[in-house]
Amino acid sequence: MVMVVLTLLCRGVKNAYPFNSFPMYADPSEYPSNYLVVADGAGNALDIKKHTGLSSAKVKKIYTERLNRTCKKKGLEPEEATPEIRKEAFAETMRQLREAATKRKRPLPEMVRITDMLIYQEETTFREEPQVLGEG
Amino acid sequence: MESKAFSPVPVCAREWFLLRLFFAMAVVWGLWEALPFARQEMPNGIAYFVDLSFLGGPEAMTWFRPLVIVAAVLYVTGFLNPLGVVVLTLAHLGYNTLHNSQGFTFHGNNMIGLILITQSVAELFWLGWRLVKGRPFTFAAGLSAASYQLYFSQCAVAAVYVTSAITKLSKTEGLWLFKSHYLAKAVVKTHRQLYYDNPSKGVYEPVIGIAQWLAEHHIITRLAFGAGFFLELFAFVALWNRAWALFIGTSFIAFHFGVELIMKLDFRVNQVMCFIFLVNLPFWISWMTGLGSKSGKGLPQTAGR
Repeated sequence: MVMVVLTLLCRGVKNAYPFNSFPMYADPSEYPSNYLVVADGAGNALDIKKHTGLSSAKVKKIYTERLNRTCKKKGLEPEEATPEIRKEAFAETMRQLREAATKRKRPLPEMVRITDMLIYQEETTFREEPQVLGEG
Repeated sequence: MESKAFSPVPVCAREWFLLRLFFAMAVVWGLWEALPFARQEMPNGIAYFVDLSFLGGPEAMTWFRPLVIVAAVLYVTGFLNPLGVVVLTLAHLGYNTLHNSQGFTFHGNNMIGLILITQSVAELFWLGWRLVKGRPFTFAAGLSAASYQLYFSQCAVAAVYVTSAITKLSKTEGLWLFKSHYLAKAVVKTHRQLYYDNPSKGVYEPVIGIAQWLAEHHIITRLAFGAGFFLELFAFVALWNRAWALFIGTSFIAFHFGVELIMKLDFRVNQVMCFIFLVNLPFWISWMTGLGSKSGKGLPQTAGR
């Protein structure tokens, strides 16, 4: 009974610590998976975890969460995000990264580029396709 | 005394003391590091109602660490019960909610939070009963508060896995297993993410060997991921009796090591919780050595079968 109640709470609340629907890797599909590369203006990948204390996976979550929340406020699905909304989410993510890096006394370069790397699984091979999220 | 299946089992004082001690150590360990967050970037859970930023920064640790240590000592010794578990619960929820209010959700500590909540609610219920009724809550013959606390903790562990399996079914309309070979690209993702954390320290692999192998062997991949999926879905079997708890707990620890090997993702806290509450070493050591029965304190029998 207790387990059922906890399971229902986790499924119902979805994401309010400690309740969570635990959606990690819950939706494998033919659609691309992705990761982010944080680089300097010349495209050299930065040691983002050393700079900010935030892993590459966390940077992606921060950007995605900002995008999702902004879209939700405007009554849009994340896929319907306009270039302005994406720009806003990117700028806020950069602000957060720069603050974290400054706090650790490892400031980021003046120009930072974040690239979204899309991974396609084609039968037995993988293809990675870069899409620049923004520079700032 | 024969215990019913899927019910609390008799738990001796020594076993429950050791489980509390191990659990308290894990809780304190998880609250030790100073959180480098000065504000709540994107509130989560209780952070919508309470600004938890006072828990961030090294200065907060000057009072937070002593607080959790005192709470842990109270919890383990049972002195001023339920003060210890309630303070530990609040400290854990505050600390981890602030952590999860930065825009990234970390799922690695939820199990501890759920265990603490179930234990706190139970203790507060029993305290309320005593205050309202004027007498302690009466447990079934052979059972004690420890029996229920162990059972509730196991329920919280199982709930995490069952929820995860249900979410997989829900998001894929029941086809998770059929689509699980697509997780090969998630393996590429996790390996790439690890590399791009600190690329100057790593070596870029043009082809992730293990992901390639998984993509080339769809059936074996589905079987391997399927085993993990069914383990999650049937995690509640751990509540059947002590032997099943041991089997399921050991299986989850191995499962997480497997995931770590393939995906470079560790769920150490989940493994530790499975080890403490499902594997339950203190019980099995007592059972094997027979120390409990010799001391005349009545070693708890295995529940169910």
